[in-house]
Order: sequence, then structure tokens, then C-alpha cells
Amino acid sequence: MSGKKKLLAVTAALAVAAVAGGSTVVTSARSAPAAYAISAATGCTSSKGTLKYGIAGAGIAQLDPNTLSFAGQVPLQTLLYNGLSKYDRNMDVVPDLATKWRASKDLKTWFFTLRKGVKYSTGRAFTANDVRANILRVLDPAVPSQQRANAKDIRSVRVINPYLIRIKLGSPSAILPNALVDIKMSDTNNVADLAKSGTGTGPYKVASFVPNQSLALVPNPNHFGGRACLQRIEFVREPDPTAMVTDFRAGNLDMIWQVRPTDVQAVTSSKTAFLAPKGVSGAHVWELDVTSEPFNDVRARQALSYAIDRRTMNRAAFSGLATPSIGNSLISANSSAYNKKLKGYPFNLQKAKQLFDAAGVKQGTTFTFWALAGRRDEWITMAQILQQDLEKIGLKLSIQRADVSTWLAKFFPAGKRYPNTIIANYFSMPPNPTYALKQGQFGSCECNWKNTTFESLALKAPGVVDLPARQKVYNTMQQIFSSYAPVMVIAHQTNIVAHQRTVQNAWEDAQGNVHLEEARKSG
Amino acid sequence: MLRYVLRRLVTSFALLILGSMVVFLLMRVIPGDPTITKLGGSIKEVDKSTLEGIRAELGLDKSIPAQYVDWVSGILHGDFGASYFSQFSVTSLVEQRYGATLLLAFMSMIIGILIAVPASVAGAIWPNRILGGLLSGFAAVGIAIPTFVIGIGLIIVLGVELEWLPTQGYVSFQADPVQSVKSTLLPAITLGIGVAAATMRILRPSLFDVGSSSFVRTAKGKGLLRRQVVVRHELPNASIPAITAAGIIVAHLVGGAVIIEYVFARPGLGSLLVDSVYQRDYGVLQALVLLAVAVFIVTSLIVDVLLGFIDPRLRTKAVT
Amino acid sequence: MSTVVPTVPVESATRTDSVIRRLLRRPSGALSAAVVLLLVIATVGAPLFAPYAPTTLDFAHLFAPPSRDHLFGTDELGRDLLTRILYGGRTSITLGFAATALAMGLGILWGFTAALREGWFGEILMRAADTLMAIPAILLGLVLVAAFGTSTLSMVVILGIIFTPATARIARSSLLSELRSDYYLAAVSVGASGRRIVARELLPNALPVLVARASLVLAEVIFVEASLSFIGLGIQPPDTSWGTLLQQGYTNLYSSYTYALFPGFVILVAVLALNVLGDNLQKVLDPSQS
Repeated sequence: MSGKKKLLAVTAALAVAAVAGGSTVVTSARSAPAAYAISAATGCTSSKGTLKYGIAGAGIAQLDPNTLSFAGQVPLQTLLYNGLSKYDRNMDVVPDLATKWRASKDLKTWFFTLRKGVKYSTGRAFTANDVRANILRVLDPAVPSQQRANAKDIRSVRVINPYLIRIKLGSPSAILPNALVDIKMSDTNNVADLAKSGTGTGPYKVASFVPNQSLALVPNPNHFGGRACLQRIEFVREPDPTAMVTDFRAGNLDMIWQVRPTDVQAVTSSKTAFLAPKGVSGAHVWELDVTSEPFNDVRARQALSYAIDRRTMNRAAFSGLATPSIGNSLISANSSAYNKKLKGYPFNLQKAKQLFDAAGVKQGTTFTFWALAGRRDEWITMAQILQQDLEKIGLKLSIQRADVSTWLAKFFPAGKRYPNTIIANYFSMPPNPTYALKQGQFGSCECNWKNTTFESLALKAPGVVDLPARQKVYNTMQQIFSSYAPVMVIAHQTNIVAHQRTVQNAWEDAQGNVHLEEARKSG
Repeated sequence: MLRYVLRRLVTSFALLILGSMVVFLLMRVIPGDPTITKLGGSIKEVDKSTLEGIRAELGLDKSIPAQYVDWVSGILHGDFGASYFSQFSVTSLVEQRYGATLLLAFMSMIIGILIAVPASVAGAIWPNRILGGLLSGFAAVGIAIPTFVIGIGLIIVLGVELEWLPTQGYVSFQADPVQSVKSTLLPAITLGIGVAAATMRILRPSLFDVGSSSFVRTAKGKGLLRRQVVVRHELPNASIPAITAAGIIVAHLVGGAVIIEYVFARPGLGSLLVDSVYQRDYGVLQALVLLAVAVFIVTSLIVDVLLGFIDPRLRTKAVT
Repeated sequence: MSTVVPTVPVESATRTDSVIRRLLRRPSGALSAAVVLLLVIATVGAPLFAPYAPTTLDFAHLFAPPSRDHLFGTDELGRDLLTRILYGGRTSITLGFAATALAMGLGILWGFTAALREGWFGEILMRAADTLMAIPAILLGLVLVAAFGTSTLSMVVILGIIFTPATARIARSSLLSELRSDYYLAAVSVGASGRRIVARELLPNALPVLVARASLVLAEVIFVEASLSFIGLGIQPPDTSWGTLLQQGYTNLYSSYTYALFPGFVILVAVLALNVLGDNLQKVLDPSQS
């Protein structure tokens, strides 16, 4: 998968850097002119057509790109905004608002040169001060930003001149440009309005916004990359996945996000197609509190992992389209970064019973399975399979569903105690294995697990440049994670996006994020 | 009469305050927290102090009575609060959405009356068993069938299979009246069936009652046609209980609209209400419930006062 | 003990007989009573009638269409749908009866207290009932589910609470009309104690109206349970209810067209029959209604 490619790109660039010595130029594998070429490709001679994009179950509640509320709003990240860097279709990190970057030899000081002539949709010019303001905002502990996890090693951000910025890190990182992809350069002059205005530098701007319901975008005339190809993009909220499929089949929607595997057949026709991402978008996981009874005993966690019939769950809940994680690893079994030596937890109720007994879990114990209401019905299908299997070894599973707020209140933020409870959740998987594995880290995972070796390796990984050496780090981390089993990884899945064939040039990255910035519509 | 209206006004106002308190308290007692929900659950690296900071900023760290006082004093200054999520003020959120709800309520009321009144009158003019049975059957089924079942059925049959009516794509009435009405037809029919059934259940027995009363018998004795008797004498008199029922029907519309807007993904106040419960968007929810309770109270007030005018005997009884 | 209380025409045994006879004489009354009875027997006796065990998973037959083996087809885990509907009805009906009983019990207590304690206390009680009624039921449901969870017991409590205020109003008005009656005034004039009058005279006389009301509440409870289940906040597996089955059927509409059809139909029939039965009972029990 892409992880490997990206590693190769960075290592290639660093090899060049090492030869030059001193302060070195580290553009990524692609050079700046290539980046200009990509941007030019967004331009169309005229904008035409309306693309209707369906999202089921929840609506876009707000537009601030650096404090996301909902995975459904992710396409906006590249429609309304730009970062200093971005992923291209091969998941290589390429310049975006920065035209080039270089790092010091110790990989702790980075310089980014900014693109000139960039304007916000309001007409205001974009400069290095905006970069600084956005990065500092993400780092501000008072701002609940998801981007902080990957950027928190940034020690200082300094404006050298309006088009040059210097970033200093606490420890070496060869992948800072990766981390910066997700920090979007919003209009921080107007933070109070950001959630409703969505002011950025991207190819589109907001035409109308009814929170939780509908959002319409139109071309941003001030965009640096030329004219947007679509006249209008509408994000339509559908009440539930079935209604979304119904509207897609009726031709009312051009593209639908997060199609359930069980609906794939229903949306397949000669007029439709699917975006085919090159990676794994995320994992369906069951989180456990490793600081509370009974899952504070590693044997109880291992027992549960053995009791999970992942293959059958894949068949019933995902029509066999997901990848079961027998190895109980955060990395997908299909990924090149997967540790192929993991023995994992093939379904075995005998072993599960022995381990539950050893951990002192008494017969008749009831676990609570905590899931969302009105969304993710596949979790309930999986839970019922576990329920039946646990019953065979004398244990009970009480399935509970709750609205999103009640659901979150049970286990969030990290540090909450939830004895006897299995939390169904979905981890979105960053394409870079380093970031994917970070989800097991203390303070990141709501499982409250803290393993010193795992933590130190997670800190070390970004600085390991040599590919085999880095794979070794990944292998060890996966081995530790699998044997301590703080989280039950059930299956990895690719986000399924279906579209009418009239939609062209849309693509889905390895994280399952849909990119519409270059999309156009025929007919 | 004035004293009666005044007394109604005072009790209604008390009811409004009581209602706002109940919901204010309920929302804060149940689990869930808007600051957490806003983060979407996928957020890492947010510790408790960050959350506490945000809570303090929103005034959620204060005691519940103190929060209530803050909210009420805000309203007295014309500030109904804002969404914790989108930063839109509640007034602008309501402005965005009230049109969709009003149009739906209005159209389903019209559809309901267009079905119920002619049907009931026909039943009274031609009192035969088959027609009566059919009408009773319709009324019973209309009441019994869950609105979301009708809604989904209509979406699939009329919208998807026959492609007669759009299942979604609401636009405001000001922007495009034709498209606006068209996109409202399916949900309005769905809701209208329930309204028609509820109206018929009240209208038909009272038409029957009035039909056996002395003045109608006199009218018949004068040699008026059956049709004339029903339309001129029976219907106006039977409208007294129908006005009473209007209150119930409005309540039905408010409750039904919530689910129907959800099923048809309409950008109305009902779906705003459901979302604000799910997200614990207290500011929006409080204001909306206040609005819902106010609508309920004003409707029943109007109904009672109206009935007080039509039939003075009701003035003493009405304050229940 | 020695107080003489004027006798009131209650004669419970003969009265019940005649009520049933009068109910059955009405065609719609007889039909709806038969349907309700049939549903109760079929669902309460589910273990006897169901062709399969309700929780046996069968991965070889996911979403099987209706066939001789599975009359209604199978669900997303290969379970027999007819069996699930019978067991689901068991939950729906038991839950409906329990919640209705709760709502009636609390409502009668509330309404009678309000009727007997006229003045500010009674006024407050009624204002509180009005307030709760003014809040849309589905909103109240959402909030209460967040507070109490989705276990069967919680659902009984939640649905019971939702329907209490409406019942309280009816209980109050029916008691008020009894309070104006001659026998009550007579009982008071001979000095019978308040509690005694309520228990011996008022309750039995107001009861018919309340019983008729109860069957309508039962219909509404099943209806609201289905609505809550439809948004995913209903009864949870391995238990199931008609509402939950309908929701799962709708969720899997494109895997099996018939899945949603059967639970939807059963809910319709049950709610319809209960409504018609309630109307008929009301007419039979309360002569002023007919």
C-alpha cells in the first residue's frame, strides 16, 4: 500500500540530502514544478454541472477545518482549504501552499517557502503570518484540534519573511510535511465566524449553509489554481443509509459516501461506478478499559479476542468485503507494513474459556456492548454473533445502543473508566503506519493502555529513516499491541464510495477521504 | 370575557416558564456533553483541562440554576443563544428552517381538511353502511399506521418506482414556489392522512349528533333537502368540537413533523430539534422547546377563547 | 364501619357480562376483539407456536426469501422471521401492557389527586401535566432513553412516563364528573370518609371510561415504541420487538424486500385492532359517548 511508497519517497529525498551536507533541500520526491502542474489540472475553461453528494445519518455541523466534528465533512478539507502540503493520488506528499521545503541535517529545523499570489475567498492575501496563526491555533491546548496529535512536537513557528516560515521540532522527524497536510490554512483573522463561513483558499467557497442539513459550494474566483470545474457542489444529508441508497438509485444523488457493504449490490448498475482507493480507510474496533475489571487482566482481553469469530462477522456484517484482523493489529493484513509473523487470535472458544477462567471471570458474567443508535447497524450484527458465542461458554453480552452524545459520554475523553464494557468504535486509519500505530498510544486510545516500550517506539518511529529498520519498529509495535490486546481489532475496511458514471476525476485517498477538488461532470 | 382571557394568559405564561425549566433541567441531567460531541469522538490528545476550559467558556461550569438565570436574562435582552457547533445564532437557525416546517404544516392541514370535510359530509348526506364502513376504516387506519411507515411507502411507490413526485430537494417558497410546493407534496400527504383521520373521527360523530338535534329536525320538517340541512345547519354546529380538535391536530402536526422531516430529510425545525438533542446543543434545543411549548399554548389559548365567544357556557369549564 | 353508604349501581359481575355481550354484538367490536385475542395468544404462546428457536443463527441462509421452510423468510443472521415476529410481539405486547398499566396507575393517582384537592395544589398538578403534554412525545422519548437506557424495563418506565400526563387529565375529568353526581353528594352528606368514597364508589364508577382509554393508550404505546425503535433507540438483541424488527427490515431493505413488510403489517393490524376495540369499548361502557 501507500505507506511503503511514501517511505520510499522520503528516504530517496533524504539520500540526496545526506550527500549535500549542511542545510539541505528536501523537496519530496516530486519537484515543485510538478506541483504547479497538478494545480493547473484543477482549472477548467468553464464551470458546469451540479454534483450532489449524499451523506447518511448525520449532517455537517460546522466548517472549521482544524477542529473537525464529523468524518462526513472531510471532502471540504480540500474543496475549501489548502495546507502547506498535500497528498497526490499516489499518496506522495507534494507541495500545496508551500512550493518547496528543506530540513536541517538533524531533521529538527524545517523551512517552508510559500506560494505567491494566493488569496482567500474574501480577497485577502495569504501570507506566512496566516501559516503561523493556523499552526499555533492547532497547538493551542484550549483549541480541541485533532491535528495536534501529529504536530505536537513543533516547538516554534517563526515568520522569516512573508513567504518563508521556519518550524523547529523537539525531536527529529522526516515526515513533518505529512503531518502538515492536515493543518489547513483557514482565515484566522475571523476565527469567530470560521465554523459558519468556511473561508479558505481552496477552489470552492460556501454559497449557503444550513447546519446539519445542507451545504452548497460554488467556485472561488480568487483561487490560485484556476477555475473550478463544477458550477456547484451540494452536500445533502440523508436520514439513513437506506434512504441514501434509494435516492442514489433514483438518480437524485451523484455520489454517496460510506456505502454499507451489504448495499453494494443494490447500487451497482451500468450507470454507476465505485471509487477504488489504494488503501485501507479504517478499522472497526472494540475498545476495552484496561484499568478496570475484568479487562485489566491481559488474559481476559486475550480470551475475548479468541472468542471473536472475525471471519463469520466479516461475512455477515460486511458481505465478506472487509479484511478480518486475526492478528489483532492496527495495520491491515493487506498492508505491506503488516507484521506477517503475528499469530493473533484465530477463533477458539475453548481457549477463550480457559483464559476467562484463568482471569477469574465467573460464569454468568455480563458484559455490556456499547454501540451507536441509528447508525452502524453492522456493529449490532457483529455483536449478536459474539453474544451467541459467549453464551456457549457461559457468559452474557448485553447489547446497548445510544445516541451519539450518550455513547461518547461513556468512554470519552481518554482516562474514563468503563468496567465490564466493550465499546464499539471505528478508527479512521491514517495512511502512514506511524500515525496508524499511534492510535494505540496512551492518551490517544480510550483504552487507557500504557506500555512503555510501545510508547518509546511510537516516539522513535518518525525519526527512523531507513526502511527495513522502520519496518522492524512497526513489527515490534504490532507484536506488543497484539499480545497485550488493549483494543479488539475486528476488521479493516475501505470506505466505499459510489458515484454515477457522469462524475469524473473524483478520487479517494488511502485514508478513505474523498477528493472532489478536480471533479467534473459530463452530460 | 376579559377576565377569562386574562386568567388564561396568566396560566399560559406560568406554563411556558414551567416547560422551559423542565427541559432545561432534563437536558443537563442526562449523560452527554456538547463539548465532547462537537469533537466527534475521533479526537485524540484532548485532555480534561482543555474540555474544562471550553465548558467554562460556554458557561457550562456554573450550577444549573445559574445557567438558567443566564439564559433567561439573555432572552430578556433579545438574545436567544447560539449553536455550540455552527456558531449560528438560534434566531438565524430558526430563520433558515421555519419556512420548511410552516409550509409542511400548512399543506398537510389543507390536505387533511380536503379529505376529511367532504368525506364526513358525504357520510352524513348518504348514510349507508358501506360508505360509513369505508370512512370508519380509513379513519381507523389513518390513525393507526405509523407516519414513518406511510412516508417510506410513499417514497418507494410514488417517488422511486413511479417517479411522480420528488422525494427530496426542498427549496424555499420565496426562491421557487412551484418546486417548493412539489417537494413538500409527499411529506404533506403523509402527514395529511393522519390529520384527515383525526379530523374525521371528531367531525363525523358530531355531525351525527347535530343531525338528531331538534333544530335540524325542524329544518327537515320545513322541507329542506338533506344536503342543504347538512351543509347549512349541521356542519357549522359540528364545527365547535372541530375547533376543539384543532388544538389536538396542531399537537399531532408538531409531533408528526419531527419524524416526517427526519424521514424526508427536510431542513425544518423538527429535524433541527432532533439533531440538537443528539448533539446536546443546549442553546438551540432550549429555544426550540420554548417555541414548541409556546405554539402549543397559544393554539389552545386561541381555541379556548374562540369557543368562549361561540358558546359562553364553556368559559367557566374551559380552565382545566 | 357502621356508616351507611347509599348503594350505587355497580353490580360488577352482571355488568361485565353485559358489556362483553354488547361489545360482541357490534361487528367491528367482535372482529377487533378476536384479532387482539388472536395476537395475544399467538405471541404469548410463542414458544409453543414458533417453528424455530428465536436466536439460532444460520449463516447459510442469510436473507432467505419466504419459502416453505421459512414462511416469512429469514433475517440478516439467518433467523426465521416468523419466529422473530412471534417473539417480538411477545415483547411488544408485554411491554405495552406493562407501560399502559404504569401510565394508568400513575395517571389515575395524579388525576384523582388533582380532582380531589382543588385549589392551588390541584392547579399545579394539572399545569405540570399540561407542560409535559406540550413537549413533543418523541423529544421526551429521546431524552428519557438517554437517561434510562434501552433495556426492556427502561422502555416500560419511559413509555409509562410519556403517557402518564394524558391519562392524568382523563382521570381527573372523569372523576370530576362523578363528583357532580347525586350519589357522591349523598355519600358526602351522610359523612363517609373521603378515602372510602374514592375506593368504594368513585373508582369503580370512573373505571369503565378509564378501561376504554387504556386500550387506546396500549395502541399508542406500541406505536411510540415502534417510532423509538425506528431511530435505533428501542429494544435490543437478543430480545426483539415489532418496532425493532421493522427498523432492521428497513435497514436491510435492499438485501430483502419482504423483511420490513411483515413486521410493518403486524404493527398496523395490532394498532388498528386496538384502536377499534378501544372505540367500541368506549361506546359500550359510556352511554354518553354513543
